[in-house]
Amino acid sequence: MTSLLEALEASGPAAFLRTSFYLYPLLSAAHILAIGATVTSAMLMDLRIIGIGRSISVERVIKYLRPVAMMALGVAVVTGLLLFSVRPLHYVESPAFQLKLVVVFAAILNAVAFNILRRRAEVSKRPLLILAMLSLLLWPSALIAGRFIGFLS
Amino acid sequence: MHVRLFARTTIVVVALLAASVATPALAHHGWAWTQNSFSKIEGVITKIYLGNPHVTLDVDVGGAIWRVELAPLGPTTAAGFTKDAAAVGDKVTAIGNRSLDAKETRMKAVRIIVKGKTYDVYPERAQNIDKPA
Repeated sequence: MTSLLEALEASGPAAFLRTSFYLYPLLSAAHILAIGATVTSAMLMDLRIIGIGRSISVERVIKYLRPVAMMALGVAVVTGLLLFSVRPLHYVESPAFQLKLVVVFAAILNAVAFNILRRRAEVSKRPLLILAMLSLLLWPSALIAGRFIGFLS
Repeated sequence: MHVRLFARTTIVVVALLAASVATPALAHHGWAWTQNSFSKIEGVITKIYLGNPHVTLDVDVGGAIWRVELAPLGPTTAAGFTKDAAAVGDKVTAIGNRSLDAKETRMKAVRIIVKGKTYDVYPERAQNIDKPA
């Protein structure tokens, strides 16, 4: 694991980012944008599922926002990995970073579980509501944990 | 029913937010986590990180390893502290604001001195070093 992180740290992109004046902040901005889009689209879907915003059907909201959420998550992961590569051994020790990874992982699992359950006609609405509420908790928690990476030693 | 569910969720989210804000967080962003007065440490550099987002030095001060945080990479190099300025094993003097937690060997440096050269990584703050308190 450590040797993998050391290899990442020694990689070309990491070395370039480490000393770049423009690219690092721009990448950081892209990461924030992607996180914003992921968390917002996930929360809008969750809110609709628990009954907020009834002027649009659940199906249409999900059809529109799920690809947005997935694409944004992909961008967030790639930009996040690049930002991480600058100082991997430093970040893995950060409790905020560790917590963020766990919460993001839980939020993704929750979304996968939701999609599996939703496709089954026999499943009642209640478990789906609970998963939507969980999602509504997990995504902002991931954001908060991530924000604390810069503030916790 | 849905509204009540939502209200409950909102309460939990807000509570979570409040809990994380209330954590006695020791930042390296900003100065909220440091003492207002300056401290000075002298030691030997054991590690240099010259990169984004912040430049840091690990300094051995009589056996205790201090984490000395400088400015972000841009301002730090603008102050003249580039990769040729210091090496592991060099003696360093760091003047800055140490952590409010007296047990923590961590400082946000305003000025560092290596090999007789002075680097003011936070020039506006460094102006106050020589002023009487």
